[in-house]
Amino acid sequence: MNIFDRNIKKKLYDAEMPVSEGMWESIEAQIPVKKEKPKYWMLLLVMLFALPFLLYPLSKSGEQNAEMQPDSERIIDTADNSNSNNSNTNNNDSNNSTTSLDRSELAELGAEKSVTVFKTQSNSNSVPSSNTTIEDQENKNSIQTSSTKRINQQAATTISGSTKPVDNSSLGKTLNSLVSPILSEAESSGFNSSNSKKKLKFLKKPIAASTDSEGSTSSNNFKLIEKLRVFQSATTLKRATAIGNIFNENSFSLINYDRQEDIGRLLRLKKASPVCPSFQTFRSGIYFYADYRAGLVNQQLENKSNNQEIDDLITQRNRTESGALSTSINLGIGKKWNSGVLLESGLNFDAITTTLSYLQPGGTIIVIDSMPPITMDTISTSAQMVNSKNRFRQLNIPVNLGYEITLNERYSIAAKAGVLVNLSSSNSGQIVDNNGLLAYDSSDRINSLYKTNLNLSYTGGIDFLVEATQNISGYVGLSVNYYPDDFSLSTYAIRQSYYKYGMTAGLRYRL
Amino acid sequence: MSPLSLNNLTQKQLIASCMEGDRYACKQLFDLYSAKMMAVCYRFARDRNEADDILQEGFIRVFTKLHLYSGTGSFEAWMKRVFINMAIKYRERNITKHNFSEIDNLHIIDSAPTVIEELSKEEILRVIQELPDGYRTVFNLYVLEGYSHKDIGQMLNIGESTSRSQLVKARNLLKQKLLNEIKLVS
Repeated sequence: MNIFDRNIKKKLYDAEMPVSEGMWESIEAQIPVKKEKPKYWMLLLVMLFALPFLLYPLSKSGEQNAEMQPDSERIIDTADNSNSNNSNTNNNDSNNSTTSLDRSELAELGAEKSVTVFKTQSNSNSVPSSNTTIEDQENKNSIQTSSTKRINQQAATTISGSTKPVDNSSLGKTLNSLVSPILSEAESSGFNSSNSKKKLKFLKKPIAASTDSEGSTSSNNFKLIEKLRVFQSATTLKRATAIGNIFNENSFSLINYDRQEDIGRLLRLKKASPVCPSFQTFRSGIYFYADYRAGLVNQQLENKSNNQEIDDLITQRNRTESGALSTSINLGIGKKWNSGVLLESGLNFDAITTTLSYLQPGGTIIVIDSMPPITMDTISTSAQMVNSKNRFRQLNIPVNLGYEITLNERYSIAAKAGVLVNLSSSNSGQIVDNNGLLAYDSSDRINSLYKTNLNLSYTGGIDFLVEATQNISGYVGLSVNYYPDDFSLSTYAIRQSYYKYGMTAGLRYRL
Repeated sequence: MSPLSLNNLTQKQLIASCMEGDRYACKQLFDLYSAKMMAVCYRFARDRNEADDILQEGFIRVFTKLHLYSGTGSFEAWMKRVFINMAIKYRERNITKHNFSEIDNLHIIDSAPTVIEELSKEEILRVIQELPDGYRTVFNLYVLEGYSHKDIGQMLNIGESTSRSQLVKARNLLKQKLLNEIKLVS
């Protein structure tokens, strides 16, 4: 390469030529169109939100089925008047034996859900395989089931145990021995649906009868009862009830609430601290919670006026601003009722973050080039891509209402929704104008643009809870926040609102 | 210095956005490099229309082949290579063979270096554009793009010696034309 070549190269090194008008438009028309990826996460979110509403009726279906049975089969009684319905019961000491367990006492025992007692009418003809007679003689309950004498005998042993000094070890053994025949009979009499089979399979799991201590036996008994309660169906109950009124529709079917003696049994069961999902998860209680949410923000800009320039400005802002990872922290106190309903409130620190990315025009740079053989100054214009973050921080009081569904002993799902009552908000960041120049900088206090109070925002989510200990649960979930209020002052022509989709991780401490 | 300086991170972000099909990012990339790439196209083209065509096709190729950019070297250099290849292909497509014509009676001129200072970039570019196809292509590739005669031979499917002789002749013709340009200007 000779001097001529070098000079030419030097001269044309950063040569530029103006581009013809409409060039970009013709190129843009031929660039492959961006394929919108299906928003599977949106679908997942919707499904997760719908899940509790689907599960709720399912969880209630067993109960509803039972309730839908004709009255001729059963009479639904409360503990207060159940005795009067035992028309075929030889009750020689009815006044003494029907001392009802007070609801408050049951509640104290953690058994609020089971206050209502369902009793099978003893002379029911609609239960084909058995006629049930409940005998209570000299403060002894003995249950006669004509079709299953062997079970009857065992049942009688069991129930009569309630009036004698309670022998829980024998009770546990008896319960175990009772399960198999009950199920066998149930199966042989048309217990064939796949759903029923699943329940049977669960029920068939052996429950070890421990005779080590009263507590462990009680615990085992309780587990069995729980199984029947949780997995009860109309058919199961009908069969079980028909066999000997040993297992009726109630959680505490072995315990006759009508009798004062059973309070002692309940107390012993409670003392044994049985691992029982109902006792733990549906126990009414107060808890503290703390969670952290991280999510992505979707900014909504709307023109408050009819000015076309504002539309251009919105386009420019949509180009330069985009949602970024935003976080929030929640601390509060909640109450869970036995029905599964939750109410929570506390303090919420929330941040909405967006990124600003724009090409900042720079000054003219003169490069003095004194390289031989010629001296040549080059002049060029610089521009710098600027990336910064805009943040809106808020302090809110959340008020959430929810519903929690117990899946099993450890896991549950809670769906919550509520409002965020804004206490205060602040912002930091920048926005650009139509020409891509800086139009707002939060550090410039004179150029105030945003509100300091945002009224109400809305929040919702679904959490998956795991019980770590008796008192502590951990949860993860999905959350959505919607901030409908205009973040900007009325003097600014663009209305700003936000959505935030994210994930939650938190802890709950139950008192 | 580059007309628009971008730090590496920003450039990568911009490229990534273009790869995702973000039109705004593509427009930004176009705005950043179009003028410079137009000058490259102009040097290789016979006229402005041809330069426009090469630029358009070149940018479409850039946007559709962005994934082939490794991200390690200079993006501008990669882009320029795309445009040069596009220019060569364009010529091959539109003219069956490069016109490596022989122009005789060229005088060796030594005073050319000073001429360059007196002419603007646009004027020099226009003079280069007036060179015959073969001369212009070899001159561009060797002098302005830094390719070796071996590379040029492979790219244009000609022998190395042809490339050398074309370059000498292109250089002399260009000097002559630049002097004529000066005379016209003055």
